[in-house]
Amino acid sequence: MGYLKRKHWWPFIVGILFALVELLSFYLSKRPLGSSRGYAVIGSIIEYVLFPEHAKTVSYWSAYEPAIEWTVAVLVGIVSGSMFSSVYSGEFKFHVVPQMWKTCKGPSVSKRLFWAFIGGVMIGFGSRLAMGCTLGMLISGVIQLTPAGFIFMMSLWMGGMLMTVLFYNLKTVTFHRG
Amino acid sequence: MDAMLMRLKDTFDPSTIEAIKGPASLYGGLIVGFLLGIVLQKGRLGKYDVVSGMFRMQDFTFWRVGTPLLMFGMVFIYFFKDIGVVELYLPRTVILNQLFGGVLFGAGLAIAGYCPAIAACALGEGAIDAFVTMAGIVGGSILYAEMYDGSKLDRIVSFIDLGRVTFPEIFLVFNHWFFIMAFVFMCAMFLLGISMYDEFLRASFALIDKVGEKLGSAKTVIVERRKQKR
Repeated sequence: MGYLKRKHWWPFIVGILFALVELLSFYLSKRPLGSSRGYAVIGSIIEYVLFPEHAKTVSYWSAYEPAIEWTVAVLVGIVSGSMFSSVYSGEFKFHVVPQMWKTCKGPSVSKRLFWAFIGGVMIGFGSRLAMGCTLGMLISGVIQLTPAGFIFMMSLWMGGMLMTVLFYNLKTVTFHRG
Repeated sequence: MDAMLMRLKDTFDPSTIEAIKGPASLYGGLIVGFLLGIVLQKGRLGKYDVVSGMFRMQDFTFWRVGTPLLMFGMVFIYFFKDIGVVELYLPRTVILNQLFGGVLFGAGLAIAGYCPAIAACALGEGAIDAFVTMAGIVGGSILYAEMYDGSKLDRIVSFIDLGRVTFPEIFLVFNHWFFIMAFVFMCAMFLLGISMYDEFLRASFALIDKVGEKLGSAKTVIVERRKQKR
């Protein structure tokens, strides 16, 4: 258990363990890993609870029925597993503004939360448009040798680099590493 | 209010917690998610600094984790598929959807600094802004379902639909291990280079931190002296 107490593991080992988790998901649950579907199901549940008549008319929710299912359980599992690991190694700490954001965008809390929400909306829309997120489309797609995963990988990199140049405008170089 | 609680109760199906195996089982999802959470946290992946550092070309932890993940995952999945233990579950390839969706996803990732799984991991580490990002992702999904799905633009964009295909099927290669061999070889070379470069970056950033501390302390000393003179 001493190995679990370390702050971080070597990236190569982490990669192999990640691949084993992916294999476990294929074997145990008979479906590839994926997390963004869980958010869509949560959205479907919210609409069903608040406006049940309106939710029936939306055709997209027919594929995402309002029921707590496997992908939501994965999200709960990720949160609990990460909390267990960080508490066990003594790294758990409540914080709002990350260090790197502070150095180039200022320590304002409301600004960080606003941009986090806007980025989240873009991520949600983009992941529904691409039919998967980094876990469900990029990793699960590439390891099954589908063109979808490779296309998504390249376009994600393009969009991320472009937005970093536009949003953080490159003059603010941060001499800091997480 | 009572009707809302009743509907919330409706969303939970007790038959999903009976078995461990199977695509509908909640226990299976919890086990897989728990292990994934530990792996993500120990790999230092659930941090804004690491995700944003990847796009700023100063932290390549993601690439150092992702490259062995892709090569070993590919070998494992196809090996166990050939043995007959697991099956493939291919995603649909719709070219323009994945292109535009990926660009939008990457732009959001650069701003928020958390992708859907990483946001859950960061929430477990105690980052409050990750929770706001998760709320935003749910909002984006609802926005897609309400505004975009089934519209004229959607029909035009999703016109080039290749279906559920793989590269060996597209290029009519008789054995998929040719592709896996080439990919693994490329990945091994890439991993070697990126690991060396990342270690170099880590050493140089540690040096900058050390020098910066000394400069910072010198600066505060100078400022205090000026104040004393006044």
